[in-house]
Amino acid sequence: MRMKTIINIVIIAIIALITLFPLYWLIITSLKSYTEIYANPPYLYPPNPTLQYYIEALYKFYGLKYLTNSLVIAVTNAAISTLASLLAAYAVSRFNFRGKDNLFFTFVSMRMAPPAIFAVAYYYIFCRTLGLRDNILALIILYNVFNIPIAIWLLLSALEAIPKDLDAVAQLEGLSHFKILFRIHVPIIKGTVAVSYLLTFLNAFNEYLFASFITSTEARTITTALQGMITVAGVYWSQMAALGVLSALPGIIIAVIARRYLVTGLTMGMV
Amino acid sequence: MKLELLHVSKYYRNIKALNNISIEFESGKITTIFGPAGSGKTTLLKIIAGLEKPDNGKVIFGGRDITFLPPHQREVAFVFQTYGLFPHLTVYDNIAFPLKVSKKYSQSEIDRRVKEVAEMLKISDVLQKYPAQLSGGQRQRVAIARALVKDSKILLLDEPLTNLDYKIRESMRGELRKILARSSDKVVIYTTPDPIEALSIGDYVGILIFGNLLQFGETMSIYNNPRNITVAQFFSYPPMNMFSGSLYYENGSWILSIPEINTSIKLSEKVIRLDTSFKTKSVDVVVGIKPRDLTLYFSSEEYEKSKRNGLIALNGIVITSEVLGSETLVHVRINEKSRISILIPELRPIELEVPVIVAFNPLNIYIFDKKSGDLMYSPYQEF
Repeated sequence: MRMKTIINIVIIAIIALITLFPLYWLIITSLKSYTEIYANPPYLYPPNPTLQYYIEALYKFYGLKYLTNSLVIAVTNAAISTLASLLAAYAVSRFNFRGKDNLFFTFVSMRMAPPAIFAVAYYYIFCRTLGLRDNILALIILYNVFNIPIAIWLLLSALEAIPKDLDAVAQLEGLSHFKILFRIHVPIIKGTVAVSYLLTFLNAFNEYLFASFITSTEARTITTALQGMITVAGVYWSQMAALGVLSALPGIIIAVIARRYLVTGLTMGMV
Repeated sequence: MKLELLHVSKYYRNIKALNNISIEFESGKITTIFGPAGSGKTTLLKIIAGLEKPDNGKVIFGGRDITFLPPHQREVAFVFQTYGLFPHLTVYDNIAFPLKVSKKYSQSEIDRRVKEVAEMLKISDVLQKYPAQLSGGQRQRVAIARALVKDSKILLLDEPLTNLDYKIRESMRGELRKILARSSDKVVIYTTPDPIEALSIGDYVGILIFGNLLQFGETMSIYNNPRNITVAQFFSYPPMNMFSGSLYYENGSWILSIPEINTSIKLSEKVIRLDTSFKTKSVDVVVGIKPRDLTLYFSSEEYEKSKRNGLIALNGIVITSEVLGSETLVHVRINEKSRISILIPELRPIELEVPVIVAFNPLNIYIFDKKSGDLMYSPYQEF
């Protein structure tokens, strides 16, 4: 029994080491100077930890602005896609209409093609037709394309699990569909709604490809800003690492806070 | 106030859920709709509540056509088979839900009503709990409380006891009868797949079998005089024993021969009155005997001692026995092909594979015309 426990601890420690070591390396790199980064043998800890590179990354390299852009885009897009998906999922689960059976497949199939093949089309639509080049509005709209299917997938299975008799009880008292959704269903599936918001938030926050060609300076997001730190004059490793730590923070915070919801919400999505 | 359904039909794709149903419900009376699962009972209630629209026909309440009136304008209360309790609300808020939504009641009025109805249904101590923390019986009480708390003119209960354990179901039955009796100003409609429940709760019963309303009337009268074989088969518990036979008239007597159980019975014309048209030729019939109307004797001495005259006795061997609540149902083999079941009004262990004598009074039988299925004779028949 004790032997088993020890083996378990060792295995968990190895897995933790493998997954957490890159993060650890990122954090210590952000606290080290150039000479310390290139030192051989490498330092496994920052010998003279400093927050100087964080300040430089945030102000000199406009990290604060890009971080704000990313947050604004992610917060807004997650809200829009979760709300829209909630309405769509309610319609699919509670109404009968033509093409309903294929609708879900249509949503999911949008996620099957590699996103890059749409790049040219999106560039044309957002930058040329809509004139939203380098505008965060473009990304807020664009991210719905892949966030809505995910959110519908999650929310639909949660709504389907709510007995239809509950709707009937509310209908008997004269509640409208909107009220049934927001006063009865949403409180019941609030965990899944939260998961849907957090996942779409992370998707939008972490997105790189579309942000890289639709934005340039004003609407630049944090993920694409990291790319910008590789310059002809050299690579700003410390500042890049500092910005990297900051961009990883939302994901880590969400994972810690919502761990319980994430697990139940994600398993709910599985049929 | 009277609630009427006129020629109501409902289809789901190509399946007929309800076939041309016309029925009349009176306020102050409890009407049960009895039928096996999938007979359209729930659909019928949903049409009355306005949750479903009929494909044909009308729903009339108090002289007014309400077929297309939205549910909340119909003053109906509905108790769902699955309870339909909101998991995110406490018991108190669940019960108060109809009152709060209607916005017609003051906070103190809501509080008074919820507490009163909770008292009546003995759930005062769980008002602050959530539905998930309650037992099945308690959840059902909450669902009933929520239906009773509001002012309604029509009270619909969809198999309220079906999902409960046997013991709770039995005790709830009597209590529910008393509670529903207080709703004397309402039309109360109660569906059930259990004949005993229909018998103990309803003043009237409608027999709804696979979308067709086969018979409607006072509960006991239907139980005693099922219109045809189908009604007799479904609306009897334990199920009626049925045997094929033939009937012919000879010199002022009816000769009923039931080869399946090696029996032929001679019945005086004075006792059994049948339509004279049957006198001319032999008629194929189905004979029904209720398990309750049969007596079991474990030895011929015991049978002799009973000294009951005019009984028909059959010899058989016990196959199995089962416990039904506080009674015992014994299955007996009469011959290779035929078995018969007998209900003993007590719980007792029954030895298997022992010879027994099964006896019945020839007047306590039901005779159905095999061809049309219609009832020809019942012990309770009034001509």
